[in-house]
Amino acid sequence: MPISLYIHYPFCTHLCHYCDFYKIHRSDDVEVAYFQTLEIELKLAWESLNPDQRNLDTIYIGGGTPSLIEPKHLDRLLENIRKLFTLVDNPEFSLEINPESATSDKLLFLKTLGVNRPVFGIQSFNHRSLKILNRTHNIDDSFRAVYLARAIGFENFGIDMIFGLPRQSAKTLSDDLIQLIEFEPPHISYYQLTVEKNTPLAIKVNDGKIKLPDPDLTGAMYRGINAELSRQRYIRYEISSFARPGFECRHNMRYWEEGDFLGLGPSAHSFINNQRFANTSDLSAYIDKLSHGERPLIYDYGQENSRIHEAIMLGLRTSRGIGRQNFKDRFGMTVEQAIDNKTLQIFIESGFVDPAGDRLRLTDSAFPLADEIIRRLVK
Amino acid sequence: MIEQKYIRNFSIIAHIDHGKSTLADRLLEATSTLTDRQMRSQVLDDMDLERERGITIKAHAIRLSYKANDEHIYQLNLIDTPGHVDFTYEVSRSLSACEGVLLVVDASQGVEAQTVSNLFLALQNNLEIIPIINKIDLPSAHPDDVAKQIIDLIGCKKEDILHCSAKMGLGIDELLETIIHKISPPSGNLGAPFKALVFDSVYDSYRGASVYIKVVNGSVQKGDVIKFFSHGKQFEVDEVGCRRLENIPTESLSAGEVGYLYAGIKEVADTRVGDTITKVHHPAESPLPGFVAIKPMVFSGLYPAIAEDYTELREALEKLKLNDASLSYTPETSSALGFGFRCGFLGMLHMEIITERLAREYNQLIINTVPNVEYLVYMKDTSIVTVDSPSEMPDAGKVDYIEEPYVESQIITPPDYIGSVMRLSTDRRGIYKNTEYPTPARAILSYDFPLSEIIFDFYDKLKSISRGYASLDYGIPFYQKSNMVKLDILINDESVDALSVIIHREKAYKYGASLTEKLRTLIPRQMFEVVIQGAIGSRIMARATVKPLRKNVTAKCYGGDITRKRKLLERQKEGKKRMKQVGKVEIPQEAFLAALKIEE
Ligand SMILES: Nc1nc2c(ncn2[C@@H]2O[C@H](COP(=O)(O)OP(=O)(O)O)[C@@H](O)[C@H]2O)c(=O)[nH]1
Ligand code: SF4
Repeated sequence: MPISLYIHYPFCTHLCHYCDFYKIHRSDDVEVAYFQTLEIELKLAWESLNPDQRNLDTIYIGGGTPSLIEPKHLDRLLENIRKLFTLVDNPEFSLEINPESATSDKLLFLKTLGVNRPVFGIQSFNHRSLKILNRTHNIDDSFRAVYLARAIGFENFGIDMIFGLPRQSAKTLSDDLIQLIEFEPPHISYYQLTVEKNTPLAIKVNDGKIKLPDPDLTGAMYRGINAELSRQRYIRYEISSFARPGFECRHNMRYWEEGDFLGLGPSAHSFINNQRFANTSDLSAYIDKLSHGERPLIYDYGQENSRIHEAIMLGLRTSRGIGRQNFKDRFGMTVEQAIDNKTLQIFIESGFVDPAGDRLRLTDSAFPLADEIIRRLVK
Repeated sequence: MIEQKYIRNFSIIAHIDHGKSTLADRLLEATSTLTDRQMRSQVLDDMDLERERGITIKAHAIRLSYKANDEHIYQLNLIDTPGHVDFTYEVSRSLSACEGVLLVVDASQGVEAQTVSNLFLALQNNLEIIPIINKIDLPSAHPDDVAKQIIDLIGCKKEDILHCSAKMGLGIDELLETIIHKISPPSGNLGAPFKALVFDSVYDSYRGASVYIKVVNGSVQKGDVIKFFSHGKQFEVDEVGCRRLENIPTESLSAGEVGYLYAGIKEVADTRVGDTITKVHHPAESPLPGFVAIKPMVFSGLYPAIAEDYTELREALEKLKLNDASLSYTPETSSALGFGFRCGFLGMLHMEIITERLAREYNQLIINTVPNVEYLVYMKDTSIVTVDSPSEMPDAGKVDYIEEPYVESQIITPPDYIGSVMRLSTDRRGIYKNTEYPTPARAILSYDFPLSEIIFDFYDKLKSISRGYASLDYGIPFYQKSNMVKLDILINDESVDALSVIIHREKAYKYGASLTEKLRTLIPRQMFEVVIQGAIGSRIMARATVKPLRKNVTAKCYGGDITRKRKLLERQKEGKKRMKQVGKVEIPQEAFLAALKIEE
């Protein structure tokens, strides 16, 4: 079975206020050290795989800001990957791009390299919102990025958006949506802004300097986004993922359907042979360990039922739901046996859960409450 | 065998913080009862919890040897008494083991109601009273005023009052001599059949209960077979002795002496305070007077916060009961809280102590329901039902009338606060009787209060409206007719039994309104609208709603980091165990606890 490969590029030129991904300021020297180490890691990780896991069908380079990577490093990385792994026919190859670095040279280079799914971190078309988030790009950058993506002939590309922004109203959200739809991206990720601990945003929110829309309004926003995108023939195939038919992100589906994936680079997560593990989230520790030939892994052994909890949580977040047969094959019990039945009955009666057929799934009206439902269902 | 004329048995009566423990320390030091190494400060309180609260709950007796100025060695038995309203009966039994008491009053605070009530108990037991003004070293001391209060109280002479500083060790030698001269020796009959008063017992898991006794007549020693008057059970004595800090076994305990005894008694419930023991051969004819099987006054449901802990909770209660005969419990179930226990306590303090001990010593987190007193319900068919739980309240249609327990009580306050005290008392349905002014600085207000109105937070309220000066004391309950109703809380039309209360009709409306409102803020938004109602019978009198949750989904489940989100879910799942389910509604523990803190 082919697996997925994720590569975390941990550098940015500028730090956004809401972001809690692992990243540091970029410099040429450190970038060189990082790529040297990544090469070692790639080799070691490859050695640890079974032969049939040495096939890739999706690659995802995320960060950080991978659109900053020096082309020569990227060239060499891809060369190494190709040397070690077999790429299946028509692999999906995504790379995250910040609009300000989307020049035609860069996009052309990425295309020749094999990237076939650029993902643009546009987040919003509202100037003030971008400011509050401390993004560096402006609206013109976003227009240029999308225009070039089309001109250069990327059939598939994604746009990442955020809602629930500080001071966002129904009106400004709808402006964002109108613009987004005009671009007709084959794929949209529409995330709600989460205030992550210890970010500059969190500090401002705690100090009362920034006010977020209340939960009733964000609820309405989420419903509005769903309704509008569905009118525009997008399919919501996961809580915050929308795609035109056939453009669902295969890489992300691999996460949610719990296939094997290998993550490289600091803070990257992996799931191989039913075991979850992650790299240390510290670049120097990462470099240090690997320069001694050791992988900087942290294992997540979980509790007794953690794999079951994950399967329920991830399955119900996708529109397809949890495959009953697959679940039974994996855990030796039915989904119904694995969840709180009394609560399930209540949810079925109230029309939040659809148990019919070979999959157990949330109904449309239940999606905005998915966390609540999942929390109440797990045993 | 010591002659009775060389024995003195006494207790210390003092309001909390007036210096009882410090004084006890000084007496122990002065009689070299303890080596320095053994000398912890305030040795008489030996449970952590009691120490923190500054209350000696479990009485102990400690023996001192004192060589007096007359060159004789005297055996002094200092019997410690609990110092809280919840424990009046225990105090009275401990006092009846004494021939005298030291009445300790703080030179800066003066006499408090608690002291007065214990003093009455001492007077009823015909004890010699040695008045002591303590803390004379304090700059704020006003010993002359305090002396006047004491004279008013016990009618002694000014010269009879000793002045001490327990902290500085002043006046201790004089005190010891006074004890010898003024307190009479016990006057038991050594030749009469053995008879002893049980004034306390402590559970020991190896040896069974250690029973504290005062021998009135005769003597007892190892091998004797004894029996308890109240239940007739027999035991063979396997050790007698006295206590210093540890137990010191002795040959025997004879008339007038105070000490402990082991007889393989497995349950402290068999060793009830105030009971009389005698020997099976040549038994005494009659028991000592004054034994009352103590009854719990406050009842509350105790439920494990997490249902699975039920068995552990039961085991913990079993263990606590071993050491605390006054704790009672029977299994009960609640549709909201699941399996738990209906527990009876001597008072609120007792309940708090038990709850705290369950948490600290047994790691048991519990939810307790609103405490209740015991009501007498007179039915139309002329039967009488005792009700100590709202769920047992019979259908209103079948009830003729209800009686609730009242207590006679006295509030001592500086005259400045009389107005506030009266307002508070009226608010608590107090029936005013009269006011006395024993001294210009103090008024004594007498009221009859419904017990339920004063056992909860009355004391704290009283303290706060009087800047800490007013104090309260009350007696044994009697029953009186009252307009009580059962107030139910309905959540989405289902009655939540654990939130029901029995309450006076006049107070039901306000209570219902504030509880429903409080619940509204404590019950988190759910996937459905939650309607909270307060009702008497079928009449709804308060209503509040919790709007349904519109959205709860964190959009981001980003990259391959499944671990983080799952861990969050698993933490929430743990939290869910602490939620109680009523119909479709999840109710957090805090909601049940909130009911305990509602202002009526
Ligand atoms: N200044 C002064 N403080 C004292 C005296 N006796 C006791 N205290 C203090 O008063 C507080 C309460 O004393 P304690 O013996 O614990 O009182 P209890 O609650 O009656 O046992 C403690 O802080 C003692 O140190 C005294 O004679 N003079
Ligand atoms: S560019 Fe992306 S990774 Fe860098 S700080 Fe902003 S959001 Fe975070």
